Amino acid sequence: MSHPRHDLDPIVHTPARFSVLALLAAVERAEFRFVRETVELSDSALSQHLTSLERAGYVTVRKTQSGRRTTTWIALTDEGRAAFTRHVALLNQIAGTAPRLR
Amino acid sequence: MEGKFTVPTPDEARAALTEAQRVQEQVRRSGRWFTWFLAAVGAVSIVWITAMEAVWPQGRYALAGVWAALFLLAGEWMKRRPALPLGAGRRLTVATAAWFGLYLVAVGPVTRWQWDTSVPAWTLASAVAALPFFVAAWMGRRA
Repeated sequence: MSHPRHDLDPIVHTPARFSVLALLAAVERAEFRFVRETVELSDSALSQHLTSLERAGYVTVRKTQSGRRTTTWIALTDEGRAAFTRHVALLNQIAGTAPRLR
Repeated sequence: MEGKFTVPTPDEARAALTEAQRVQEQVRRSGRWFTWFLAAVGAVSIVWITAMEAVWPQGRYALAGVWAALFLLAGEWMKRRPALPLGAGRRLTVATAAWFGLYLVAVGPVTRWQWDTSVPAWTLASAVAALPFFVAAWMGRRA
């Protein structure tokens, strides 16, 4: 049986991205500003993380136009939800099965 | 950005899980508007059905138009919320379909046949028809 660290997903592993996925796992979709404020990231940092997550197929980013206002909506894909669930299980395993150092 | 990959220690894993929990709690708190939204739709539907069937039956087409406009406006308002709780669309759709079905094929015809335009009867009947909205709101509070 291998250690759970071997199964960690490098895309999800980054703390900020993990928090973004945690947020998106609790909603159908969320506005960019809402995600930025809740996860406490800058615009550019969130954009970079979203690009990585979108490239991995874990989130969808959609822009809508209402008058002069553009809104960016972010949602988790099924793959993203599966990756998040898997990562939570692995973190739980790591948190619970730690070898004790003397 | 994926170059630096460090295996989390148990403490780091616990910290990440705690942070994820904090974020989800905050999101759930900010999604509570949807519960009130469903309850408001239910309450407005009671007023609307009673008004249309018992108070002003001759103005039913005008009232139907007002309801449709209100429903569209509420939908637009809902779409503009910064975060839509998980399952919100499905809950609203199922509740609306159940409400419409109850009103159209069960509660509505029976009340019309037995009590005609009695205000208390229609208030009770529309409250029964609105139950799916209240149940959906209650389910959201439990989630």
